[in-house]
Amino acid sequence: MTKTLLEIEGFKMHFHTDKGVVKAVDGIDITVGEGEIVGLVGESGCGKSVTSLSVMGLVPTPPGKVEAGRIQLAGRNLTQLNAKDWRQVRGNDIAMIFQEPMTSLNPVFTIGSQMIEAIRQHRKVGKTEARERAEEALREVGISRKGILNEYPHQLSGGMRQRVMIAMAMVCEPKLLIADEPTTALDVTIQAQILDLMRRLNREKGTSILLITHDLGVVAEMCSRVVVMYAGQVVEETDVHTLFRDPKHPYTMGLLRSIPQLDKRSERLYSIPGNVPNPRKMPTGCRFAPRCEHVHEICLQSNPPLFEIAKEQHTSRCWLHDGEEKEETDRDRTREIVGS
Amino acid sequence: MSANSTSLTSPTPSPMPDTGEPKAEAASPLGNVWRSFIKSRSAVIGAVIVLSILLIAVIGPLFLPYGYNQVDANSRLEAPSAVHWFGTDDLGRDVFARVINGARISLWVGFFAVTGSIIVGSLLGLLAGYYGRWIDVLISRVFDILLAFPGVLLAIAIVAMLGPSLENAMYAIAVINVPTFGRLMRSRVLAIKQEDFVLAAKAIGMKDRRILFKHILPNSWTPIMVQGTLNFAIAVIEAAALGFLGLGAQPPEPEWGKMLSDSRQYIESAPWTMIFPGSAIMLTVLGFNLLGDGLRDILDPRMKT
Repeated sequence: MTKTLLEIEGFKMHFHTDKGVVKAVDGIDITVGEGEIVGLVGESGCGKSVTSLSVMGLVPTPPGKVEAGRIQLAGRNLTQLNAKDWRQVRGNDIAMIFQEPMTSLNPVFTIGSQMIEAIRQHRKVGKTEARERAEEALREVGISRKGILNEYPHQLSGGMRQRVMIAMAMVCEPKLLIADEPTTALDVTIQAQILDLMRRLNREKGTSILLITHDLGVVAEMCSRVVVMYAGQVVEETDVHTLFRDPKHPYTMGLLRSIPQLDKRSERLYSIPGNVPNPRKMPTGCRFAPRCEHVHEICLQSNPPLFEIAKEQHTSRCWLHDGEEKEETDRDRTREIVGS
Repeated sequence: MSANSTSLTSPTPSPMPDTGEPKAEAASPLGNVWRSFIKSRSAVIGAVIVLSILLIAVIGPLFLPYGYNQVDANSRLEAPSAVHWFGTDDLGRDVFARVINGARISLWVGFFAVTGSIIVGSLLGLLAGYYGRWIDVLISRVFDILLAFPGVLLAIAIVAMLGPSLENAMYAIAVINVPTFGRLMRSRVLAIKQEDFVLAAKAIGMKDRRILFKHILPNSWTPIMVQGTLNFAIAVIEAAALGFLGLGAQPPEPEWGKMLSDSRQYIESAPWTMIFPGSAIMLTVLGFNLLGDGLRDILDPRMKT
């Protein structure tokens, strides 16, 4: 396996609101290797975005609070940084692109002034040189049109703006790019172009990508490894081929069954029954139990740990796999040892 | 809106063309504003009135044959004529000269009072909206307290404390208008700080202060400008009101409100001493209101397609 770049360990981000504690992210472990593209999948409200914002240090605190765990980037613990150090990390080591390219650019400034600002935030260069770098960054993402730097965001299409956002994110050559549903707001042809572009940047620059999405099609195209999240926890983690061929967790199976198949005739599109649990009142047992087809007695009583499936690097948080392999994952065991 | 890609096959390799859409006609937002400005009748009429008054205030006094305080005991309370276009007042001063000079005072007071309340109000609103929590509570309660008083009453109280003079009237008017801009700015900031581009700016490592002044403030100017134009009219009226009560401009300054109150006894015998300064106030207020209304329509983001 490649060298680890990002390591999230037992990370908990809770929100303390007037109505109670919202456990948005409740003990997750995710690693991203150097040059790797990792997919983070889950339905709305499962904690994907809070995870990505936590890695950027952009969760407002309060109401947010890191309850436990740590986030390490190339061996540096990010959860202990002060505001000034965080600003050094953001944009420089980790960059982020957002879901809505239509609103992620400031409408009152030109593309050029925003890109130059982003460059000069982290690099001590003059305006002229920053301008040249901006032009080069835009060429990298396939925009070579003259004069684009003098245009305003409203003059560009959604796909173009997302390219500008990617160019802006890549301009300081970050080690990690967090893409929070980068193609959700784009139509399918533009989506393919943007994914293509991200893959090329990953290949050519070696930038690791944490791709957050609820679109399994995008995952299949892009990622080498996939982490499935449900209700603030990781429920399954494996490489992309195993995920589609041999999913273990009932939730993942449900997700895969809800993809319409072009080659099969089916009566009605499958959907997982029920809703995501209220984050203020999580079920005591397995968080997926109320919606699960395979629910057992034990599922309602205690939340399963991540079990390692026979194959290496495949984990599933489900009691079904308790029988297959009695042991918990190495990682869980190590933490117990460290914790005791 | 989700565009779920349903196909699991690899995407068709596209050569990533430069999806250059046809360039919009207007290269800058300012160009757009200008085009809709000249289409808006009320904005143009308002602007013409305001600019005329401004021009008269700046260069008018240079061409007057009489000074605004030139007393002539032989021609008291004369009706308008070719010699004295607006007639003369009880001291034989030329009303035309006084009205023209009064424009300077009114615009001056309006400009400084509005600028002052915009600067102070915007800063406070910016802080309250962006930082929230106790800063917001503190600033918003101060605004509430100021708004609890009827505006002119508060202005009178402030002038009473500072002593009657034009300058103090200006401060008083600025103070009572601060909450208007403060609350407006606060509401804009609350909306804009949720925008993705603010998050994106944070994500590239920008400082709070820079985000405030570089990203949030420039996106909040429009309503402040409109409100500023409308409040200019209010400030002119308030200055006249304070002058009328003897709390603003002191004699012999040719302030319109003061002129109105001085001419009260002659309302029947020499109505011109009252009609002309009164009309001047009305015209100025009308001009700024028309301009402000027009600007509001033009700059309203909902009107843009």
